[in-house]
Amino acid sequence: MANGLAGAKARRQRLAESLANQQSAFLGQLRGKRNISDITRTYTEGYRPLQAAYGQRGLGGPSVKSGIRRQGLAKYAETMQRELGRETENMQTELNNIAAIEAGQQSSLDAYLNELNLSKAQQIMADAAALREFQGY
Amino acid sequence: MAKKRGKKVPVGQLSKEQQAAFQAQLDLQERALQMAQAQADREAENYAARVAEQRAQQQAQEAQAREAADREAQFNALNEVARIYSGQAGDYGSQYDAYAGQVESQRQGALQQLADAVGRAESGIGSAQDQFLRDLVATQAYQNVPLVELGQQQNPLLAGLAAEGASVAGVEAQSAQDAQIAAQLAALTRGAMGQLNVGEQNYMKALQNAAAQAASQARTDLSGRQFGIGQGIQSQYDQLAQQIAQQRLEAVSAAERQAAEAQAQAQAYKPIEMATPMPTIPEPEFDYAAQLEAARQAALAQIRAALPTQPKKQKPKNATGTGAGTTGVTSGGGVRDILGNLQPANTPKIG
Repeated sequence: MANGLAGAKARRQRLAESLANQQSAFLGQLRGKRNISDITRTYTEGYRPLQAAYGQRGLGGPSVKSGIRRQGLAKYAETMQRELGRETENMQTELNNIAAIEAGQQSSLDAYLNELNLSKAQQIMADAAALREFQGY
Repeated sequence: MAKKRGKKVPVGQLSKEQQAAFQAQLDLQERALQMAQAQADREAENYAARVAEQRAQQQAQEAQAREAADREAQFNALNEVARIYSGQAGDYGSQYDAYAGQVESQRQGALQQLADAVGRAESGIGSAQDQFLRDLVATQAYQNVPLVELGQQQNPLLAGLAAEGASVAGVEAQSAQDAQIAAQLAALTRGAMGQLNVGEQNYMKALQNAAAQAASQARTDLSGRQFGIGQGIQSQYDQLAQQIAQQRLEAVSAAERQAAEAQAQAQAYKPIEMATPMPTIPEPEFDYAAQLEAARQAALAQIRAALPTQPKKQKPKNATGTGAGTTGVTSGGGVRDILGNLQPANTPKIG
């Protein structure tokens, strides 16, 4: 592929962008996993105190299975699930956005190089058709 | 000029009649000399006149000859000038014909260069198009995009909820909803990538079409340019050839005109007919003796004619015959005898 300095510069820039995208994806994935891990740990660690709290209120114990307690724990677990889901969705969206950006940037590079080649070919054709060596006639 | 040569001869020994006759003879001789001298003078004058006339004619002929020579020189010079100008006209014609040939050769060369350049340009256009198609990046940027569809996180509290006898339906419903949303988002992104890929492929075709159109346009432009340049070449070389033809005509015409003028001028100096040279007059040869004899005879004839004629007398019987004519001086007969006895040999020589 011979499209000169402009093409080389564009490919070099594209490489830098691609590296940045990979880094973003890695960091996004890392951040998402950490958030999910944090959510899991937070809710897991809060589950027993929640149970204890219902017990202290006399709504639960080894032989007592209160509806309020069961409903409260279920709600707690559901909230945890919702946050896990949102974080997962965020991470998926971020990764896919990075992939789309990567594809878009590659597409832009390809289009730029192709347009450079087209412009060059058009110039060659126009120069050939101009027959400039016969300018005097 | 007559020279006076008459001299009294001593005549003491002669008789009176003899003296008279001798004196008459001397007078006659003197008269003959004068006549001969006069005749010679007349002939000399005639000769001198003829010589002068012939000299004048010869001078006229010499002048005419000089003029003829001058005319001939002028005639020849002008004819030479005419010949040179005629030669120049031919040379000009040859030179300008050579120029015209060179111009025609250059015209063909230029047209051939144009044809070659057009061939190279057509080849260049085709090569540029081929090169573009070879270099065309068949982009796959939107194909096989690594999209993720993350699975739902397993809730670690489910076992605890089950142990508590609490419902897990909410958690499962939330998880199912999140999974559905994630799947939809992923599908949406994949669809977008697919659409972008379709656009990308269309763009690729558009690029190829643009290259083909550019090549087609370039060939059209090239054809038009070739026509225009060809016209320009023809026009330029036509103009050049016309200028050369015009200059040729002017140069040849000028030389021919000058040749014609020189020839016309030469006609004014055409050689003239020379008069026949005058014959040289021979020098007169004066034979004074013959002249004098002729003059003497002529004088005698005049004298005889002038003498009175007397009837012949009978010779007296008593005549003693002492000598003829001794008594005839006055009668004339004696003189005639004397005259008859005169001989040319006796004529004295004139110096």
